[in-house]
Amino acid sequence: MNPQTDIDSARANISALADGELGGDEAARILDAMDAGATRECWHLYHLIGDVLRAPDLGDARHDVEFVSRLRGRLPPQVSVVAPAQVPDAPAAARPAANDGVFRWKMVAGLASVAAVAAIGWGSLGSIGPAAPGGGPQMASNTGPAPANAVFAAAQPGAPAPAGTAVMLRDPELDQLLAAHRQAAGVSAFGDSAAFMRAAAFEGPAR
Amino acid sequence: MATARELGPLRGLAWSAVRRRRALLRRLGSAALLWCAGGVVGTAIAQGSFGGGAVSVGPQPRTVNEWLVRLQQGSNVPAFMGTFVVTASSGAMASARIWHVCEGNTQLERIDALSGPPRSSFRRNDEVSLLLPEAHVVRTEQREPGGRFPNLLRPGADQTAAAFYTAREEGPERVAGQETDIVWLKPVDALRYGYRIWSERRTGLVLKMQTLDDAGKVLEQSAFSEVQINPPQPVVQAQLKISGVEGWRSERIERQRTDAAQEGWRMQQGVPGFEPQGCWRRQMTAAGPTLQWVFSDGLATVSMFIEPFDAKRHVRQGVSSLGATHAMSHRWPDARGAWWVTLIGEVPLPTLQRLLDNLRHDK
Repeated sequence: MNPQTDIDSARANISALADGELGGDEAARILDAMDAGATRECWHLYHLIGDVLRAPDLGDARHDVEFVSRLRGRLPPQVSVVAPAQVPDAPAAARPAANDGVFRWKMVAGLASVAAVAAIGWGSLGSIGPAAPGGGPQMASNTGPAPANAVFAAAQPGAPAPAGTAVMLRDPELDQLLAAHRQAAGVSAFGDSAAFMRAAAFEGPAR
Repeated sequence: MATARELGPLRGLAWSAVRRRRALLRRLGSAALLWCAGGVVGTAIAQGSFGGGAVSVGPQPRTVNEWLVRLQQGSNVPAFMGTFVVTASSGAMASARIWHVCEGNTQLERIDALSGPPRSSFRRNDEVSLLLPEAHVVRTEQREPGGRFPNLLRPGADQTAAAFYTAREEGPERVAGQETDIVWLKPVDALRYGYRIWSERRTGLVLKMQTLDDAGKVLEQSAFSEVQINPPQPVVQAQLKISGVEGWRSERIERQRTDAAQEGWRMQQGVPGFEPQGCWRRQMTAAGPTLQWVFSDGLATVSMFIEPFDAKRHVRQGVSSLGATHAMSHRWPDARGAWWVTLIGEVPLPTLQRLLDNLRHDK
């Protein structure tokens, strides 16, 4: 019997137990196994599903809407409190630690919907190789001299990008130029309110 | 059949129940999707029923320039405060809180980033101070006085935008609790992006903006999630004072206006619509000054940064994107060139490429 079949039959047993169909030895055996985290989780999940089946109200999305609007109401103050903890003890330099970008990228990847409050990195659309002949392959260098390279190298194993997906990276040099660009283009034809909407939220710390 | 069994006492389900439960979870998932899609469809219908219809009543639609004047005047609203959210097509998102006051000729503004490292930006007309609480740094920069381009409020002002975009009004919609008019500024060619703008009906204040590619796909969206227009002035004023920065390091970013031709740079052939707006020398690194040459078609802006090539820093050639903003870095004029050129702008990549291809240096 292969492991997948084992898991399936174990789940079927838990399901039967949850529905009150098992008795005697079999129930005792399942209950013994209940200490295992996965089995217990499975048990809770099936009860939750059973609850939803019995009471369709539980599956009503309107509750979610209310929850989301309550969450949204509380989000900004919580975010501003939480944010400083993201970069512990930044050195007294103008720029945050080089791995800051990597951390924030993980935030985007892992908690996209809930923690939709992470700054973002540049998406690389393509590279034309090292600029300097013999400049060395920057992705392989873990002792990279420039912070941008260190971030880029670190981001590779942590977040392997599927083919066709832009690799996100933090590039302090580019951030600094972007800040200068936004400053020059700061007051746009759309008026100040549109200009700051474009400039302020995406702006990196390097400005 | 499944329905009858679901309503039953849930006995005798055993293994089949597992599969049925999975199916239910899938159904719940697709219900949520439908619910979201309903919002989108509803919006589309609302726009369609009001906008650009065959039956035209009321005043003539505004021209591109009339719209731009209106949008610029929106900044003169006495006060507003709110929270806005910027999202990119990649799904990335950032938000910030803003307080804004306009007294006579003085504009005061504060923006607190709610995403990423904490930072606050305070602006008094053209003077911008950026507070970085983690580094205990206050960084000040003087924007070019009157460097607002194109200044459509001035008689005989630049009319470039009108030649490269058309305005299409798309009717009313509610944004952040306010009634807005929508205008879609469509580009006439593929060298620039389009913009859909939601402008508050009474003041003209921009409450939402989308940047769209030539296929109509949204590349970037900025929108207020919540805004108060003309709240009590003292409430806003209280937020506009810089405090708690005693003992912080003060930095000043200096830049000098210069002339591209004087620096030895010129464009062999321009890109339609993108006119040179100004050229500055900035001290960005210890290595030496960086030249910033700015081009604009009236709505979109491109900065071209030129600096001496430095093998230590200039290692990554290529192109990147951030929302609707694209960047392109190249060693110039060739792989052994003495210069490093970076172009950044809210334009399609081919536009950056054409500007780069037309760059010439006269020694």
